[in-house]
Amino acid sequence: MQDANPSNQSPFDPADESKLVERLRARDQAALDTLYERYSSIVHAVALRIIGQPADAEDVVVDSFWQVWQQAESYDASRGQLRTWIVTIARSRALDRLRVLRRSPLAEAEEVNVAGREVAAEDNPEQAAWLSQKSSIVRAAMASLPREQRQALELAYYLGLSQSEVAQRLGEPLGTIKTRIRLGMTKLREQLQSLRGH
Amino acid sequence: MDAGKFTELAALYAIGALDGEELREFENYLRTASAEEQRELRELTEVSALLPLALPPSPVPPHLKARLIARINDESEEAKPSPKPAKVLEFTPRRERFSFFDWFNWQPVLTAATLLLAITSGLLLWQNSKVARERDQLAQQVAQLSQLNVASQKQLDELVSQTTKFVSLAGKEAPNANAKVFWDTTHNEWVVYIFNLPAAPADKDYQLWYITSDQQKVSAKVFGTDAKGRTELRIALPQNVAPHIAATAVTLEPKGGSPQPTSGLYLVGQVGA
Repeated sequence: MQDANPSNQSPFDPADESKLVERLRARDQAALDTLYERYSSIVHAVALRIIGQPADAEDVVVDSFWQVWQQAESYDASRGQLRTWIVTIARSRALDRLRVLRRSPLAEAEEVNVAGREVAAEDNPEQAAWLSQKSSIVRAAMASLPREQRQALELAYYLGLSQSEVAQRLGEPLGTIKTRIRLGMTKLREQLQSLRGH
Repeated sequence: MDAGKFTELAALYAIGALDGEELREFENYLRTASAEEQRELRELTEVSALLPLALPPSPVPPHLKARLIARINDESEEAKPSPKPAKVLEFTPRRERFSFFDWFNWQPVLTAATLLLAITSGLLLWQNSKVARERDQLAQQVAQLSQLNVASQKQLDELVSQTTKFVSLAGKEAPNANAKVFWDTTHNEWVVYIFNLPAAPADKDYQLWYITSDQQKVSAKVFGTDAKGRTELRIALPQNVAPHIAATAVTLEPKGGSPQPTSGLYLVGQVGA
């Protein structure tokens, strides 16, 4: 499954992604291969962070790209980038799996041994460079948030907790959690402006 | 919704934390949200999708792509018409896993589902027939009520007509009884309503009489009453008698009536000018 039409464009060029979606809808497996090369590491990271178990995280990766393949028709570019759509699918599938497993992902995630694993940069240097650069920006943005805001965001995003559940988990008033999430998200929006749309 | 409130709800929504009534209200609001609000929500959603980039590097096991391809090939093979060729996996075989759908015996379930469908269809047909019958009965009742309404309206028109005379009969032998006569002088018809006559003995009938101005008594009608002593009579007046009627009365007569009254007057009323 090799892309028969490799592009010299930036891998995250919107026009390029639009063509990829068209090819995907035309059941072009090479297009899926390209998407997989671009986003599988993010999808895998999300799944592993949420579920905490490598085997289940791998299932989520396959399930997510299977869903992308099957439901390419439902992708609406006006509602967000292709990356956003794929990551949202992955998060949703991982949270579904988590609910089934009824595990404590935070505790078990600590046990996941990722040491020694490196991004497969040798196979995809362009992807690795992109990830390395953008990841640094996102990490810096997250690190700039007050700990309370970051914690509220991570509980909601990676554990799938609602605002009420986050408030209960942290023993804080609901209004406080609303404020923390609003402040955290708006600050990230400012800081990650350069990444959105790329 | 003001901008601050929208931003707060959009941030919670984008990260999947909005719940309860607020979630429903926000999703309803989004249907009519402005372009600016939709843009803000889209940006916040993209921000949430960037969060995973902060995670530690997570190399993907190479065999996963093979699993994905195998799954897609399986789909392609299954979509082809039979006879089905043997499946050839291009990459590493996927991990052996038991699938609920593989081992579960669907035959009894399908049989039960078919039976249930048949029963349900039969029940629905029966209910449909029943509803149709009830609908026809109701339509018949409506038609009857409509006819009754027309008759009642005609009767009311007759009663209030300027050509209708009114005669009241009072009880004599039967003090509690009374009667009302509505005389349509145009068509010379009487409509007589009688109330509270005592029950007639088995060998007797009541009889209504015209009493002319020269005191002749002409039989008008032999009748019975219901359990409460009531009845309604419609009588066409004889042309030769109508102009001479001065009074009317009711007597109790032998079964079938008499040529002339043989009892006292149970009801009597004078016909006015």
